[in-house]
Amino acid sequence: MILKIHRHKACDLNFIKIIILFGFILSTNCFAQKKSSVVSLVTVEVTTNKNDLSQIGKKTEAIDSIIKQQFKLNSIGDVLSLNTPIFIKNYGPGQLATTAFRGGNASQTAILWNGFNVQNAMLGQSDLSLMPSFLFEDIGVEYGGSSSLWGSGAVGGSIHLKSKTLFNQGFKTYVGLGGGSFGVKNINTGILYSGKRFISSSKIYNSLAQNNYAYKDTSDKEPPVKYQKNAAYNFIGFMQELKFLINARQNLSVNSWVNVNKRRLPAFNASADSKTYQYDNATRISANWSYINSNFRSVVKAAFFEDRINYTDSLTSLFSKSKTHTIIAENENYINWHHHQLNFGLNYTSSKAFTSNYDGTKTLDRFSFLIGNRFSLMQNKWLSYVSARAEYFSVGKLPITGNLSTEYNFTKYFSLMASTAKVYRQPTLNELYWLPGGNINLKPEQGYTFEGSANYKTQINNFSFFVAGAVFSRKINNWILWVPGADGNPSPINLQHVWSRGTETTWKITYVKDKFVAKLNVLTAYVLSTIEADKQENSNTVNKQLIYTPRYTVNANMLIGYNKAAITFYDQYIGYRFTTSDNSQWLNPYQIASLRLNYSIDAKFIDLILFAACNNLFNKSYTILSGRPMPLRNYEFGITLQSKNRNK
Amino acid sequence: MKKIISLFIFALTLVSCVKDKPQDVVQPQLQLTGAKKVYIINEGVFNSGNASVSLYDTGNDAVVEDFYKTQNPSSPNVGDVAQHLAKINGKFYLVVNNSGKIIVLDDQFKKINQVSNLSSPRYILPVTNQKAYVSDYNGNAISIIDLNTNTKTSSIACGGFTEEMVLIYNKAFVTNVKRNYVYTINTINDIKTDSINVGPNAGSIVIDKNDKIWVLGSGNSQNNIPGKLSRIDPVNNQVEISYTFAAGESPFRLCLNKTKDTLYFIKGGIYRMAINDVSLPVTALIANGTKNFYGIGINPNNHTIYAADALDYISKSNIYIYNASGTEKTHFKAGLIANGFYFE
Repeated sequence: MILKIHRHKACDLNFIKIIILFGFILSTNCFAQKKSSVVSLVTVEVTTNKNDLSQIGKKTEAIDSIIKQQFKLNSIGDVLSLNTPIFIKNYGPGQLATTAFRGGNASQTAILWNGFNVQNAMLGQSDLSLMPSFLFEDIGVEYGGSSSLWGSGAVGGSIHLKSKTLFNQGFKTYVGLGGGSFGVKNINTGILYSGKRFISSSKIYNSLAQNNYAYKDTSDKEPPVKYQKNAAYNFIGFMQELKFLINARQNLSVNSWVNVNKRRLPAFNASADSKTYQYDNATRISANWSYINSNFRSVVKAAFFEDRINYTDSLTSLFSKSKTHTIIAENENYINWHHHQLNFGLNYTSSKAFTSNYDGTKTLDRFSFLIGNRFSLMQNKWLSYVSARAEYFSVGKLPITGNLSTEYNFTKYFSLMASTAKVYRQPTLNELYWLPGGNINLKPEQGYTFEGSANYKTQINNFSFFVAGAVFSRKINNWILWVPGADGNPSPINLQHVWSRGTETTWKITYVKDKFVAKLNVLTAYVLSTIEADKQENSNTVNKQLIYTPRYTVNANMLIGYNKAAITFYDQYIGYRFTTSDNSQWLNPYQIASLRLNYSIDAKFIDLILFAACNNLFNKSYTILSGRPMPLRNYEFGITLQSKNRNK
Repeated sequence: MKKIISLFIFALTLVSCVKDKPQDVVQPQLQLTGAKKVYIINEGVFNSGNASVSLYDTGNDAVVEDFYKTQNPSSPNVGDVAQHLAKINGKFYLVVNNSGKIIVLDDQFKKINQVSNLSSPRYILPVTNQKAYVSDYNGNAISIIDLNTNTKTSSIACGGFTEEMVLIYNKAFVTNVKRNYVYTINTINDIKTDSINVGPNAGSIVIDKNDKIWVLGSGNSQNNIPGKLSRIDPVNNQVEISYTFAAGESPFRLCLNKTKDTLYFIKGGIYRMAINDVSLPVTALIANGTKNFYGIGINPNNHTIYAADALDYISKSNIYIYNASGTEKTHFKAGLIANGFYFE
């Protein structure tokens, strides 16, 4: 196995060389480009989409450009963990990272790539450590449920990962190189051609690490430093986006994202041997045609996703291969009338699984109809949105869901928002068909969610302040849990009722004077997510907090920048996490800090940004999940080179 | 208005309806009697390192939920997946599967030694006063343990996932979950001698009062192979009789009563069958209802039936005690995923 990894490494180095060369050759070419003629063609601007509608009356958050720059060589999981109140359940660097969003589990979060939910249909979840942040120009978080707009899984919230490329931006290239402790090597490169009628954006990445990081085994009384074993990873991927401006009213885009991810999976007892490794490979292709005129916009979208997971444990002779094909076809229409905007659309989603763990190939088909209306009153001060979604599901019934949300902007500084929705999550393919234990009679998890929030911002001299607060409540019935069936094999059943509620606050203070900038951001979350009813006799879980759902999280960061240099200090507190459903065992809270520095050099043809980071600054021993030690103090460094846009 | 809103948001920051720090449960000081004790083996959640052993005092119904920790405060962690507890030569041997070790304890349950360098041990069977066999999940071998030095001395190649074992006539009969066979080993020269087809997923084995061996296989529901209960004559290693369960039924955890004339097993509920019965029991002696029976033991001192309900696998198990007719006498909490019992 070790030999295999080394051989793999040799290939990786070649691969890295190729993409460096690829990036630099093309960046050289770009400098030779002549400035194009002045463009007069008015490009089609997308006015409204489902994303805009789903955000009415809700708390949302966009990851800003400085953060994206600082995390350019990190995964989406890393970005969200330190910059949002979402608790990321991370098994370690490069290992599985999933969300616990407002007390929901990973399959109750929609992960949307350009509006398509990319959750693996067998598992009902996606691994955020396999999604490099540099791929996406827009990273947004939508809090609260939106099943009527996004369908199954948008229960706790949604994560939006989007490309955002405008026409006529010229030729740009980008190369990022990074390294760090425990053999971390990162490279990503991008080439963008943005013409008057055509855009091509190509991005390639490779991220690998030996991952033999130092940690302390907190179960030992006087923990010696140990080293993680069997945790190497190698993630390679490619994203290609093409966009055509057919005419002033129509455009067409085709996107693809292919990735091959290999990683070894360490044993629970990190000192024990493990010969487990897993491939998570995905091919995602989508196309989007859009038509717009003054009062009408129509979008036709289609996508094909293939997810492969190959798991090999030669110690236990456990070999598992699975493949899922998902086809999505969707139509959205928007009609403006008076102060309203009517939207309606259809969605067809079909997921087919191929695995020896089922009794043959299994397919789930879902056909949905969505209708909604946005109300815009009082010179757009008062916005409201109402929607409903009805679905046909090939296995059982899905509920009719709906959403009612409103927001009132008292001034441009102060707004109040409220939203309520019926939400659901359909059972996954594994929950329905896994052998043994799959339960074809499962009902979807469903319930109601409510949230209210307020935003206030103001500017006093060089200071700007932003304060936001949100309260939410969500009750979900038929919560699915795997428990032993009548024959002793674990089987999922609709076991529990769960009530999640809590508060979130955001505090941002910014001071800017000349070339000096200082920012302080504090995000807090308080989440109670308790089991309200449990069908098992003497279970002692009622009124207990869900496992791995911290009640308290606080993320703070302070940035000080001068001219081209910036230093950011991150501090994160994650409260107690229960590891048993009767709350009899728990993990202690942890508070970890990190420091990130970046320095930009503005050269003639190129923007050069140097960065360095020190993670776990105070060298704390901690685990996010039981038995999964996290690294002690470690370092990252890197450089990004971006060609200047010579059309501007 | 703005001030009110700011104050409201500030209040949200400070809101703390529930204290973050959970309250440690203070174990009451228990007075144990001189009556017989029952040790409950709690696997713990796989890959979570929270295995434990609970103690139940039959004299006053007192329960020590984490008896191992109580007796070993300086090294309170058992490890990951406690599988089996046996008493050999006056010492307890606690087999901890996913930690690859066997903890050796004195009669007060204080750790005195440890057998290490095991792959993934499952069950221990003393074959002489000096020697024991240890079955293994993925080691493809039976380990031989020197009971004097508590070290692994050698092994007997045996592919697959070996599980429970019994000893009779200088022969060890070893079940194998990943093969369709029970293997026999000559305990004098440690050589594998024979194999007996009993069907898939056979992990439970007992010897009745007539010196007949009973093996329970859970079948393979993926391949629509039902479970099977087989009776073997240990003299000629032949299956004398076998009973096949209905399709989709996966029985497990075969055990015997004190007089060794009645078999018990779990198949959702708890079933009972006399060794002379000519067919499998149709009705459960104890219906499972919403319980998740995962472990069973028959107290040899009073014929009571001990059943472990592992609930959702991530909360403390319920232990139910039933009288011989299946009526509940009492129940109490043990550790996570209780899978078996050792009766004094």
